Amino acid sequence: MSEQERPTMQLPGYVGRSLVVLCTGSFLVYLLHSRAAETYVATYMRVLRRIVLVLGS
Amino acid sequence: MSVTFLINFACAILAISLLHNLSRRSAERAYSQVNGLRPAEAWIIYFVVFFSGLTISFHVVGAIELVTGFKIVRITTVTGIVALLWGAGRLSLGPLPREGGMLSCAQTLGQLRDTIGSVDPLVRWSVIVAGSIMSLFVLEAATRPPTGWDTLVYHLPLAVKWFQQGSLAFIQESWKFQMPSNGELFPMFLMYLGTERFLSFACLPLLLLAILAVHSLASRVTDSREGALFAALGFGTMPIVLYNAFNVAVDMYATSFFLSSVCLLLGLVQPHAQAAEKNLSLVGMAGLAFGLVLGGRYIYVPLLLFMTGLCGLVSIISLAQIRTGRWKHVILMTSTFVVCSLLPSVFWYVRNFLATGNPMNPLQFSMVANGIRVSTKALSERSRGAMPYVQDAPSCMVVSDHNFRHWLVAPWEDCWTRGWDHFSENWGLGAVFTTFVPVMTIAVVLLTIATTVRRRQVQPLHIVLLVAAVFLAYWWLNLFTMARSIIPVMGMSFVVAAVGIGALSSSIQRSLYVLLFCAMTANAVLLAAKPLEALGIRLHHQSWSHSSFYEVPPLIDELPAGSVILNASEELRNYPLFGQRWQNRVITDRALLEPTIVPVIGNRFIEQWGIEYIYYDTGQRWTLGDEVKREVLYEHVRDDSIPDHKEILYRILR
Repeated sequence: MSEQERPTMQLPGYVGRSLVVLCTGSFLVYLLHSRAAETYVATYMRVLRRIVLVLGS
Repeated sequence: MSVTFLINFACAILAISLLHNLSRRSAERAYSQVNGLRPAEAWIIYFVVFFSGLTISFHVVGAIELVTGFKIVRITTVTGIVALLWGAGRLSLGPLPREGGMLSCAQTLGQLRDTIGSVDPLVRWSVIVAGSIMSLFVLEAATRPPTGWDTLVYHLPLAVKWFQQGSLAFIQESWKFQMPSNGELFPMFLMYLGTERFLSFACLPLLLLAILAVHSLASRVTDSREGALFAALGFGTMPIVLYNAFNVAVDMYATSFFLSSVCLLLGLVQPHAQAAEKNLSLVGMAGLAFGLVLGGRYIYVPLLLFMTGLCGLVSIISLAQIRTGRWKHVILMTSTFVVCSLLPSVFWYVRNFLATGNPMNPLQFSMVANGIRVSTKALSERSRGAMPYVQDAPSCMVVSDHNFRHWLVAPWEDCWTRGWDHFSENWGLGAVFTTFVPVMTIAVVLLTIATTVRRRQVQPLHIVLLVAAVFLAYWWLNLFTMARSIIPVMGMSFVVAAVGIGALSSSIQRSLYVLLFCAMTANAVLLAAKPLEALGIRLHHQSWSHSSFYEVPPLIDELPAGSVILNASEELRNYPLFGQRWQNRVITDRALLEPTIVPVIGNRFIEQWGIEYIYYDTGQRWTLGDEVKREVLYEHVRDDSIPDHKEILYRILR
């Protein structure tokens, strides 16, 4: 369907702002709660500790 | 450097050149003939023709082998069939454009530059972050041989067995070698180039194809360039997608061609009717794309029915303005789709039927009280301790989790049961998915329901939602279980989310682009941890070679060519024991497990398989018979805390 003929969806401003808030909340919950974030941040810490140990020795 | 290697290498390069030429010709022709086809879709056609041409060539040679009994599946014969296809294409498709053409490098790079240059700067920065993390994965893959659980256990061992035997015939050794195997043909083809390192990149073109397909689908449902880019990059940088792309997994193969098929079918939904003959080529390409999937995974067989119905539906929509002979055209287009779907897939089903009387072998079907039960023979021998971390992490996803509550919170927990390895080919939704897809999908579905009730007109978005819903429902019925089986749905979820982004006012979109950049950066930082750590460990231990990476003795690469080794250790050793030039012949651990477990490896078993060496793990469920005369060539304690747990390479004395 060409760009001119596709009926475009348009969300009202308040819906759009609510979506932004929800998406931001979703992102923050992911960062603070997910096991993946916790695990891979710990991986960085482990690697850093190893580098410090290697450099220290 | 042997003459055989040089001939194989030259033939492989010739086949690639001919397939490139044929694919480009087909894509240029389709682009010039079909109204409303976009450059990205022309590239999708390019990939579909390339892989279909290669696959069909292998199947033709395999079919000749089935009829004559001669083992002729070699690169020379396959290149011969590719040359015939190229000749037929040259005659029927006409010449390439004299200057440039849609698929020339200059044109493509120019379009890419224009697309990225015209979007919001924050989206451009997100593109840079996405490109960086993909580059890190490419770098990591370049420094190691292929990896991935299923890849090492049976996908690559199957490809190497074909490569060594020059045959696509039915292999009795295991049911894992008897399924439709289009996905293993390209890695096998790459083996003729002689370097193991190419295998790690076997799925890279498929990742590009999947990203192109998601971008094209998003462009069909929203006008927002940023939205389409968001969908493509968000999907392409999902942890589960990247791990499947660099682990030679068949799911990436299935995902890319399934999405391509849907995308090409969607190309039929045009506002102005065009000649049915022109639509036929698009339907044919969509059929070929789906056929590649059909010949790659059994789980797509029931979806042939749905995709045929979908083709019928879009044909009716595309021919709505034609008054005479409309149904004749609809039937013609639907039949074309089915025939083209069978072209690159039917070989495996016929082969299995001739060998066992069951085209779906090793699947067995039986009627039970609550429906049809699908089983695989020999699944009962699977070790019960295969998932040791299940009890440790009850809230994480498990291999066959269909608990609704678990799935409801899964995007925010993003964890997999296998210890710390949350991002792998089995799991990993990532920050971008979780930030946008759950919220935006719900919003777009509600909005779509509201607008559909008002307008009563079928839009491309309806078709995307229908395909995603049917696929998800089919998966939920527990016919197949792994999360990686629904990667196509994840791709379509991003397409749906892109509609939501496109429906916002520009000031609100700007806020979302800030969030996109933050989520993409967080996703990249978390994703980078594993490859960076792996690179660091490899650098520290200097483990770049085949043997050091797989932790098998270097002696494996020094055995006389053609040595027969039994893998009596863990299943992940199946592929490494072939050696870095695939010079050894490996009897996989499956021979010890099927049809029933072999508790003691005795002289009879050794004679039956012609075994010369045994790679033995003392921790496995079998022992070596006392009567077997052998000498120890290598011995290694696997874990210092358990000195009795050893891996030993024996040479059998006769």
